[in-house]
Amino acid sequence: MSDDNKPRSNRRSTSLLANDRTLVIDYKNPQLLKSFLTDRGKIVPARISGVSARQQRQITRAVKRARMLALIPYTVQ
Amino acid sequence: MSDTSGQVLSVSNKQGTKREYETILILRPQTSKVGIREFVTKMQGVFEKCGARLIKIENWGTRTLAYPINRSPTGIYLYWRYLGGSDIVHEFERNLRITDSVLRFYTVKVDEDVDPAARPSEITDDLLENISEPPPEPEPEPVREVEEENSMYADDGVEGLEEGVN
Repeated sequence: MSDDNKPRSNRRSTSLLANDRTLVIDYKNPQLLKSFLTDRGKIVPARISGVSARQQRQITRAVKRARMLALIPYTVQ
Repeated sequence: MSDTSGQVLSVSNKQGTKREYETILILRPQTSKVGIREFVTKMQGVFEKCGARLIKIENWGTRTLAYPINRSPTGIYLYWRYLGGSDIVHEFERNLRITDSVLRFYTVKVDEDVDPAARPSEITDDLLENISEPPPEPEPEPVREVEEENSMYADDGVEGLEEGVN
């Protein structure tokens, strides 16, 4: 129950990638996309990675395209 | 083919312009070099027939797939970039579907309202000669890797991400 009273930790990252407004998200660049995936292959939520909503939409689209082309995995066992 | 082939018919597009598409396709790793060249030559015929123009074609070489497709753990990636109307995508993909060596393909519209004269073709005979071989690899750039993301949902997950990037 003590969890309820615990102050919420600030999860927002201030990573270099998230602050880069000029970052071009391209589905052909799996190395870049991997930095927005967990080690299970899930897309990292924007509230955690700290990217803007616009960037998050671009990332989501790119990740899904790259998965189709087997550049990044759907799941990691 | 009707006389509207290669034209963009949508009224929302400017007249006389074309759309720019890119297609990535994965070939079976067993595909021979001669086979790739024959396939490319055949597809060029399709492009010509549809009034489309190839801008770029690249061989990314044999890569390990992130997951096996049709039990194949690797595949040869080919990257195509071209100008045309939507009919070329339809016809090109139809041809890919009936080609046995194609494991997978994906087409993306890159741009529209493109003036065909503004996009010169980078295709040369020499390039087509060597299309069955990947270009010499430039040294891969060091990648900013993010590790320790497994604790993402734990309270200390953020720090893990930051450390990985910096």
